[in-house]
Amino acid sequence: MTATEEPSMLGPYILGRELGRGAFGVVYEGFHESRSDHRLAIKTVEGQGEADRLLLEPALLARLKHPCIVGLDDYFVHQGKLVLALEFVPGEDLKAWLDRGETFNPERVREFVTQIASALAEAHSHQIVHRDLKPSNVLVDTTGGRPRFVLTDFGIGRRAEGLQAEKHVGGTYLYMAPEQLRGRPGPQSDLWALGVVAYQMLTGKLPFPGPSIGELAKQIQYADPPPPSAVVSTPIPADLESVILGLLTKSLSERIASARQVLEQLGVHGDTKRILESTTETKRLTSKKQLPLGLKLARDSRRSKRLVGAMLVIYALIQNVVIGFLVLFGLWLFYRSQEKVRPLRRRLLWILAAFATLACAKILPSMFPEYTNLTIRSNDKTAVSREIKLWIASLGVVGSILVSSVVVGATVMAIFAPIIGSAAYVNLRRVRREQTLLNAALAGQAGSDEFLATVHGMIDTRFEDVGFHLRYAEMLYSRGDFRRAAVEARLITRQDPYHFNANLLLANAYYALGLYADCRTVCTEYLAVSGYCFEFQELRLQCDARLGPS
Amino acid sequence: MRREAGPVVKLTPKQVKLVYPFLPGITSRVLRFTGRRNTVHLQETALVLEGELIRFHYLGLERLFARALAEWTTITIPYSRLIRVKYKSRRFLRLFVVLSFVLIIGLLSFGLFSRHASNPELTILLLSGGGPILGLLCWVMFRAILPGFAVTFRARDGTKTRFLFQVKKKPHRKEFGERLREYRAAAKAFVVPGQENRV
Repeated sequence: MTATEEPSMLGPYILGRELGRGAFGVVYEGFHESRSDHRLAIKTVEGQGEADRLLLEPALLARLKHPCIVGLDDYFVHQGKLVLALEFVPGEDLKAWLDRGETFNPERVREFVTQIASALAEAHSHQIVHRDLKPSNVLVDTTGGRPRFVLTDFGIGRRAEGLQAEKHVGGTYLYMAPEQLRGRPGPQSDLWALGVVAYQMLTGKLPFPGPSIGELAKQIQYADPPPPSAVVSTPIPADLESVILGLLTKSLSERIASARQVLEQLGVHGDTKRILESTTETKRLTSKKQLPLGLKLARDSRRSKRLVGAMLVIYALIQNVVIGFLVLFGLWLFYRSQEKVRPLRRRLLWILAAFATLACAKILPSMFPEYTNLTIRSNDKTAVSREIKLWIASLGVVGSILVSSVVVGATVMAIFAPIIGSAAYVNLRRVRREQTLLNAALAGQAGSDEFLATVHGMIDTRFEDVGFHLRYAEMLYSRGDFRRAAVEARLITRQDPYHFNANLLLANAYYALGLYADCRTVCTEYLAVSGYCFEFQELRLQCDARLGPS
Repeated sequence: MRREAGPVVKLTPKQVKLVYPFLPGITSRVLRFTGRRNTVHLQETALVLEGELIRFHYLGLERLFARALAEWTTITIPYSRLIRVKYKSRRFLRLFVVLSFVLIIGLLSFGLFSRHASNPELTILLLSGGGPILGLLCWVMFRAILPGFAVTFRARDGTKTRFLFQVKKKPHRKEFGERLREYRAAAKAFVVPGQENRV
């Protein structure tokens, strides 16, 4: 049926020009017969048999009132069709902008992310998951000075209710999160889609282009996209890039958890319904936030290194120059010897060396007192102490207070310097993790040999970092190296036996290797504790089909 | 109260504090998390803890260098493996702290406004001693003994394992408790009888 054949009236609404046409219906411009000055978008949806399903979209929309979510004026069923009278948003959808090759600068993308994140925060607070966030479902209203991004089409949206024991299909492949591809969409799936659209706006490219659906699914589930700063030459503020990369993280526990958190990370606080009145447009960004991610990490790394160095020097000076350094060196040896990268024999040697160094620190003072008394604190209670007392007395009251403060400070620092130093060292390790990943991704495409080698090198020193280890295993899987992926996944399950993604990856790797019995065992074991995980049920059924009746 | 899907599903480091008892557990193993980046995530498939887990225990001495002895890791606990989730309001402990606070205020007032108040040394002594103690009690009250949850689960090797965490805000506590209860009840329906401890 064409637009001209449609009736000019639908219930009390007078229809005008056709605005758009989709798989399930048509959208017209129109107005209520009693209010000709109030333009509306009249959407008609063809009935698909189930009345409940048909009325879901208006039921969801009726709950939501937000400037960045299309408003619902009225809805009714007319001749088997659902008719929705929606807020009329002047302007095109985001897809039209992207198709024209329009560019969006980082500030515009920030606007988009904050507005849509606030809309999602509102929807998620009502337990509503959109499930189909994509450029064609975002309208851009440019009538004001500042663009307003409006989220539309809750046609396949649903209420998030408890555990999902059944697969929920639906969505657009290019914007689907890994868990949504597997049939388990949740609020974080919308955040993933937000990340994909923001990435596309910023770079003009999709993070997972996938020439075919199979390849796309593989990329979404296992491959890492190159960071936006590696794709475009325009400097991208660190906070925006961090948020986009945080939204495109595959693991649910590592992905940004909520739309509110997105807003917080972008420095937007307060009522999400007043997002358009907020000062995000005019807010002056501090130089810290404007810094590109790579530079920010480099700066953090530098600061942590300096802090560690300063604490080492302070500790050594307070305790004893020689002894202090020996103790710290011994502790460093002991700490490094814990790393699993070395063979056991070499690790034992490191531990022995650590103990030998620590023993030296204990023995040396008695053997060579003249070389080991280089300290600003002294245990000599007689001659030196008397001299110091006389010297302090000669300084007067102010001098005495200053010297006393230094001594008290030194005593306090003797306790706190190792604590501060160790905290700074841990922070340094964390920053290095991010830095190495980013640098490797910037140097070559994610998933390249170089990238893989870097990640592999880091796993040796971060064996218990399950998230990191999993990324490595996923990379191997995406490259088709199923055998090594299975080995790594098995190692992860030693650390975290019930890790969902690791177990699923292991089962998939076994399946890909043709080890159907092993795959079935993994699935059965997981289902024994989480019977509602249909992902394993499906895989087990496939294994059963391959193996035949047992 | 309106349900907020975002903040409640995952307790972020700002909302949660993982703690551990000073002494090792007798009947169960205790997970010792340290640092300020730990999270507790209620995923559909399982309860996921992420954070810096201390691998060594030296009778409390490890607290001094906790972060250096810890490794960033993930612990996944299927809902069916949870044995007990106990909400700890710490009401009596908080009441005790409040009473101590009131008692010290009373003693200070008595000391400062009694007939000995003219003694400046006593005044300085009371203020210098009482002030820090009151400060410490405030810190204990508002930061150290927050209500939270003690969760016991059965690890894959069969050992009972326990972890404790405090949730800073009341709405988050309530929502989290409700959601966890809901997930546990839903998960129970899918466990094959006799198989829950098989793996």
